[in-house]
Amino acid sequence: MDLALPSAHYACPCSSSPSAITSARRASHISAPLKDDDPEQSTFDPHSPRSAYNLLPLTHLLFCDECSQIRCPKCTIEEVITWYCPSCLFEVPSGSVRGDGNRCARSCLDCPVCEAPLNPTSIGERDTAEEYVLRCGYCHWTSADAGIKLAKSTKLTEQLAKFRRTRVEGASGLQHDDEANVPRVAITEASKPQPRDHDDAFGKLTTFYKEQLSESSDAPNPYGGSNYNSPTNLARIMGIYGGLSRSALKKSREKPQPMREAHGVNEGVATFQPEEDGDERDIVGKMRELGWDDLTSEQQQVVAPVNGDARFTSELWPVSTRLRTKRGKRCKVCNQIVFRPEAKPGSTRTKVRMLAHDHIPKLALQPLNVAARAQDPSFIVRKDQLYVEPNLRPHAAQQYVLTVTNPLFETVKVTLTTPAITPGKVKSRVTILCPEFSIGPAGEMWDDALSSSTASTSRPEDGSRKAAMASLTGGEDSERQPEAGKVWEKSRNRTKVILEIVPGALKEISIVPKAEEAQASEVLGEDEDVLQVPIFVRAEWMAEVSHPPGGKPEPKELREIGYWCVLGVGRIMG
Amino acid sequence: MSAPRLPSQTSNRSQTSNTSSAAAASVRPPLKIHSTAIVSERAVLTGSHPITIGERAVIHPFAHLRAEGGSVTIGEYCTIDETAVVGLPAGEGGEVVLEKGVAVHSGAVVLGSIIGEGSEIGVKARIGKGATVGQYATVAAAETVEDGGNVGDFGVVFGRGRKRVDGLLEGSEELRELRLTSQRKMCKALESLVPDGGMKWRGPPLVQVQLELAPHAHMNAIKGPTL
Ligand SMILES: [Zn+2]
Ligand SMILES: [Zn+2]
Ligand SMILES: [Zn+2]
Ligand SMILES: [Zn+2]
Repeated sequence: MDLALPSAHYACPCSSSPSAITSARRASHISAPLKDDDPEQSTFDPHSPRSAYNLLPLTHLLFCDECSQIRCPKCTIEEVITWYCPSCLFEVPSGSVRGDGNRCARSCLDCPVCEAPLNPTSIGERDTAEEYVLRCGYCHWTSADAGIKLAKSTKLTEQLAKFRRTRVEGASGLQHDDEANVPRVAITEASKPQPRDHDDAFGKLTTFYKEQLSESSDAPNPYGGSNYNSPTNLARIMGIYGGLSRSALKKSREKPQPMREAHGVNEGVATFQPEEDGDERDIVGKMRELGWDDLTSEQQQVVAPVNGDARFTSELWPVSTRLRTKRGKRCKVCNQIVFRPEAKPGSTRTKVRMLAHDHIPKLALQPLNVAARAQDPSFIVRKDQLYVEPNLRPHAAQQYVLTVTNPLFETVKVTLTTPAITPGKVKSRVTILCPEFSIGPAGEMWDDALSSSTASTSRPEDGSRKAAMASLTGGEDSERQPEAGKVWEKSRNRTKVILEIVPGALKEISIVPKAEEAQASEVLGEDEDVLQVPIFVRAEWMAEVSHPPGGKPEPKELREIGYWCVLGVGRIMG
Repeated sequence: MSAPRLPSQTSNRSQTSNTSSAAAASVRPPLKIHSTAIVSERAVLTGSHPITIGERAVIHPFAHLRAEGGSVTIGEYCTIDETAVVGLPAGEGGEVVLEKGVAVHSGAVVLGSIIGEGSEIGVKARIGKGATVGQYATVAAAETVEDGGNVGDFGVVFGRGRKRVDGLLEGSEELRELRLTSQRKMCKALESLVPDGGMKWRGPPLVQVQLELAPHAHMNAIKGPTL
């Protein structure tokens, strides 16, 4: 949890009861009554080790309107909306994503050295035919470094595949057809210096295993139709009951051919061949000769299967651009969509965006005393501008203005509850002077700016110079005294109330000497000197029920939401 | 070239030179600017050592040629972009030479002694003091060549100090020519986009009083394109 104070963090309901989600899912019913997590029953402890994972700023939270609850990144599930190529923005149908190896099958290629996109560049001499190379604009790698020159600047992937095939076949001397049924040893010897082609090997492996599968499933099963699908099991059982003769049993054991594993180059497997032609020794010698920069890095090898065996940068092959995804988010409990981007790769717009910011009342804390008002950390833009943490003196009562903002278009009744003594090792006293109040509805964007001068009820509207000065300097606030049960200030969709906080002492002074055990338990952990106030916010409002167009408007429905908000006030001085 | 406009221009110019930089206003370094070169009025030329700018080179507004620690030589068809700094600060000794067709991009700092023909210094890259960059080399954006370091001919510095050699350029005279040609084209295109500072750089050192007394005395000093 970051500690730019004063702060406000919100607890996702999944934190208080991880089982709540599963149980709700089992019941597949949404509106779990709010009474279950009654604030009186369990107080949220911001200092407990668990809460560090549960408290999030409002901007990180989403909202599910089916469950009427906050949803954090932990209680939403992601789903892929679309796959697309970042380079050509082609939307790849989900069916062909796997077949293409999660890569763009069009002419998008990336640099194998630095992963920047490659562009075809003409290197044709004036008098000869046009020739193209793929060139990286960042590290200036060109496909000519790997000996690749292309005839046209289009259909790059096809040209490259053809180029690679001819190179592989050229090296292996075209013995693919006659080596078909030669014994294994002969194969390995014959195909030794052949550079492996990954795609080719993969194709062979796939066909081999497909064949194996179809063979084994086609094999006539003597006990087909029975529950005993495994032949060995069945044979054992039949042996026990003596149902079959010994010879028949032997036969049945032989019949279902066990699936064979692939071996040999023809079936797509290349194994390590030691001590042949001193090939490895050549490589080691070459490595010794060349510099570090000429060797491929692990990153370069794993980025694409095509470069898996490349030892030197001169062997690197252009890599097809990897696809990206656009993802949406769903509520884990009810599967409601809480975030969904537009599927078109070029668009940055969203279709559904349920931000907690737009659905729950927002809390913000500020010291009442202008002089004590700390600089807002979000206004610090320069690095050298030091952020001064507000420090609190123990036992010195201080008043704070708590601003609650309503993002909803209905008037909301808010009830705030907080434990009188803050949880944790340092006991501070907190009093909300006005825990129950209502906030007006939010309007259109400009309503706020246009009506702010008239909606304010607390400021005297005498138009005098003094009032103007007071509103500028905030000097008026210092004259007014906060009263219990009264709202401090109210504007259209914003209500301010006063919080009185008496910070506790970091070390309690006691006359009676304590046992060692008690002393040890008093040692403060990290950030335990930070005064944090947990507040349970409950909001109620009458919402309009959506009805079909033309239908009879139904009466408004009572909605409510409750959540814990933790206000970071400041660090208590020792 | 209109005589009536000149007095107002000069007064403008003396104002800008006063505000641009204290050093620039008081002492202008000894300049040797080719008549076809373009030095923006808003470029910053400081120091007391000589600055030489070659044929058709383009110095953008707010580019800083700093002849404080030693002379600065900009070769023909070089481009120095905005907020790039070329030259050593006061207190450091040594000259900086950019050979022909060098592109120094925005925010780059060149303290190194020699940048070879046709090289490119990327955005916010830094060439350390005494470092040398060979011909047709590229230092990618935000890369650093340390003090006294060396980038060979056709070298590429990229990806946090990784280095490689552009084999294609090395092997092809034609492509090198192509690179120079495109830099020449760039200078040609900039000619109409970046207005030249004219009298500010080409007349004798400006002294406000002198100009106000005899604004027409320097007419002969204006060479090449002016505003
Ligand atoms: Zn959650
Ligand atoms: Zn693509
Ligand atoms: Zn690259
Ligand atoms: Zn839900």
